[in-house]
Amino acid sequence: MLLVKLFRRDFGGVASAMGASLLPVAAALASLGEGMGPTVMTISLLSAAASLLGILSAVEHVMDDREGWIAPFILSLGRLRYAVVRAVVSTAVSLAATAPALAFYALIRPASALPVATAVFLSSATGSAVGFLIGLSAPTRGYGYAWGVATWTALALVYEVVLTFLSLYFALSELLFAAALLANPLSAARLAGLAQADPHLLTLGPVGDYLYRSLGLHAPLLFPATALSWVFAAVAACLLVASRRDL
Amino acid sequence: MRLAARKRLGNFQLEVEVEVGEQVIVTGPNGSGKSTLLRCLSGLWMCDPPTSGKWLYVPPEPQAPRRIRARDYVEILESALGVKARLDLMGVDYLQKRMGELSSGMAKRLILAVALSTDIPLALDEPTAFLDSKWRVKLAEVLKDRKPVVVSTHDLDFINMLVGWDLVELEEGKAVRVVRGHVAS
Repeated sequence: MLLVKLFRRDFGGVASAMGASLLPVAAALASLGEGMGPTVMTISLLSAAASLLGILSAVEHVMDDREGWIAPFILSLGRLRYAVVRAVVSTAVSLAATAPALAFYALIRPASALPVATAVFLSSATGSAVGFLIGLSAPTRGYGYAWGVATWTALALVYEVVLTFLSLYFALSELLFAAALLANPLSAARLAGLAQADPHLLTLGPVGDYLYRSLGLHAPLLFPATALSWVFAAVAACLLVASRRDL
Repeated sequence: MRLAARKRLGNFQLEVEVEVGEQVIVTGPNGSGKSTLLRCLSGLWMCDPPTSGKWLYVPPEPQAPRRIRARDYVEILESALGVKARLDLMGVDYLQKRMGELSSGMAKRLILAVALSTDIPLALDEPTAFLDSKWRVKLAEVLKDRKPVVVSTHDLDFINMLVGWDLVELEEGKAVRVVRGHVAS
């Protein structure tokens, strides 16, 4: 019952506003067609937007609790159960907020729906866990949003550019490059969808070729497994922080 | 009962251990550690040794998500605390409004009403802040038979309404005076 009431409270803010803004983006991306190129572009753009939605909405939820009257939740649930409830509700809100845009896209491009949904759901879940961690750690709501946007910019926009730039000057092996991609939770979530649309990992170039040669048809499974591990790792970090921090 | 908490915050060290009755006023100058003591009791702040955390802390400023309706907020609190809120205790009759539309005093009355509806030990931090004189008197009446409860305040009028309660005076994180069953001054 508490879960449902918290869900209703939390769905009304950043999540629903950003979820609504994804609808025209999904419509524009659906208009591009159904080949691998348009699908990969859809995965990249929608998963980036979904991760930002997840981060900012989770920051909002945790700050609503922390700057509100958090004592009843801590008293009745305890710190760990509160953190679990908060993680579940924030993730559910993020997934629900992205669902209309995904449903709209799936209606127009059913063949590409599964890879796009995989990337978007994993990205929003990962973003939600990262946002929860930021919300617990930031001193105020303003810092929380600023840290959230900065984290998203670093992980979703800058990370792979820096990686590519480094590869121009240093001889990075394919293994190192693949490990670096998987070390970024948002990249792992995006690539989980991409690996479904492109099982031979052609769009990853030499790194994809290396992974496919090393792991064969199991290669595409590496990304969703890593993305899910990141979600669990981030939630575990939240539980640890929630159990030790002054609230 | 025993009020005990130790907590270091930068250069400030709270170190309190006193035996008191079940109705206690904690008073003292700004920065003496009143709120820190109550937050430690409630388990919101991590203290050494860890406290039981069985106290319901009610903060001085009534903070709540601004966009939510008072009715929905009360329902969430009722679910969390497992109680039916007795809103009449503090004259709350504005549940249709959003929390952001309420004055600080109205929001404070709502939160106090929910807290007073429980049978959980209460840690009330400056409970009269934002309340007008009518609701201060009403709060003192409601608290009269309430146990256990710890009230942190430097509102002298309110302290004088709680005659017979034990009084702990803090200074720089230490309990410097304990009065059993204080009388109005």
